[in-house]
Amino acid sequence: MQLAPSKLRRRLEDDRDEHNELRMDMIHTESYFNFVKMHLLSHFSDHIRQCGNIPIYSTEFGELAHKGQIKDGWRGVNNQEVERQILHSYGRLYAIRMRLLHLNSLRRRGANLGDDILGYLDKTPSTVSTPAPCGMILKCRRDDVSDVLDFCKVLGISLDRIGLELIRYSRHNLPTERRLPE
Amino acid sequence: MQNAALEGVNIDSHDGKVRRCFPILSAWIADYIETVALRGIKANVCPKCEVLPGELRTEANSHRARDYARYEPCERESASDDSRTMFETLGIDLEKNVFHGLQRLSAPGLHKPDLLHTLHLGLFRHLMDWILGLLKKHARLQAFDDTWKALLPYLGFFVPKKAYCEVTQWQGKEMRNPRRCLLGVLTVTLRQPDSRQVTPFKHALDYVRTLVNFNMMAQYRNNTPETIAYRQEYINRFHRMKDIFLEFRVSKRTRAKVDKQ
Repeated sequence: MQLAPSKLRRRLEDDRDEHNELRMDMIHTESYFNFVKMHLLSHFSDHIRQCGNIPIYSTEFGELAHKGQIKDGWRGVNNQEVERQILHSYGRLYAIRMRLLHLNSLRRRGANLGDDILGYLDKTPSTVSTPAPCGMILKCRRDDVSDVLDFCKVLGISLDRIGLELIRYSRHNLPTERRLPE
Repeated sequence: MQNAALEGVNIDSHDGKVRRCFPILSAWIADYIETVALRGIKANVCPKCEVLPGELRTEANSHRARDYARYEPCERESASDDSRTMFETLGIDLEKNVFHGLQRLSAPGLHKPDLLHTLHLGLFRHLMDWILGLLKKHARLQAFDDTWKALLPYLGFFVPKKAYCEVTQWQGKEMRNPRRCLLGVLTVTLRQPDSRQVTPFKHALDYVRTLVNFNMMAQYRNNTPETIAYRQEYINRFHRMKDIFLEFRVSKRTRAKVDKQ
């Protein structure tokens, strides 16, 4: 049967619409939100009532410990009984920091501590906000360093000092033709 | 572990004294797949309560806590049909899990909510996928990427360098970043809708707002009954309104089936 072009077009469009509707229907009936993450959320409230805030239970710390505990720990050991050494050193570091915090708070309350302890506390910098050593800061790429000024801020070194060091470096370490005049 | 819990061990305390301690296992922080392996449950089953596998999507929260001790007497080989169907419906794989026999252990309580994998890299990732689906359908993807890249720096906020689609792998820290700006970017992207788009866009925005709010609130380090109530409200709304994104949550199987038709 021959149809006029306009009619044919209309019929084709009808067909396509129908087909699209069918597709949407199918997608709607076949898709679902039935996965476990949807459900796990509902336990958050109960958990807070029982055990306090959620962020402290996140696996994020565990994933971070891959670097802080294991990788940095690995650098400090001598390849003998590695697991035991890593666990020991990590635990020891934290025990020492906790002890220092404890002593500091005792001191603030005016507890009677021995002279040697007081002397030691004076010598060690505050454990609460230990600044990361400069090498550590530079080891990873940072987003907030775009020029020398930012660089100084991050490292906590004055601009003059950095300038002097740069000049000194360029005088000694660059190839002869690129060296600064003395 | 067993002996330590029953008889106690001497542990150096941080105040310099030695104390007799009875350590018990109270939490096991693991992501979901690890939990599944530890618990001997099937995948896509809640480790905390006996929600039926088909009801994960509902907001109901009145299921009985899982009692792992109840599963232990049911031996797999000699199992009667009854216990076998129970295993099947409750999604149990092993009758004795790793924690079998440990003292003073609250088995369902061991599982802790995991922000990183459930929210940041979990639901939020899904949400982004759905949003991209929505944007693609309404041909707003380019606008979204443009807005995304035009973001200005702000204190504590890293400007995204790439468009969203160009980033292939996300870390938890990076995923926290888009979460902050997502709602704004989306609002800008979805402006001036035509008559057919008004309702879906409005619903989508509402939905995103709920999840972002929930996400932010889950981070709170202090909680009052009020914040918990807020969170519950968000989660209820989240479940009520999710259908707006249903068409973008299409599994590969469904897609293939539809295409074949």
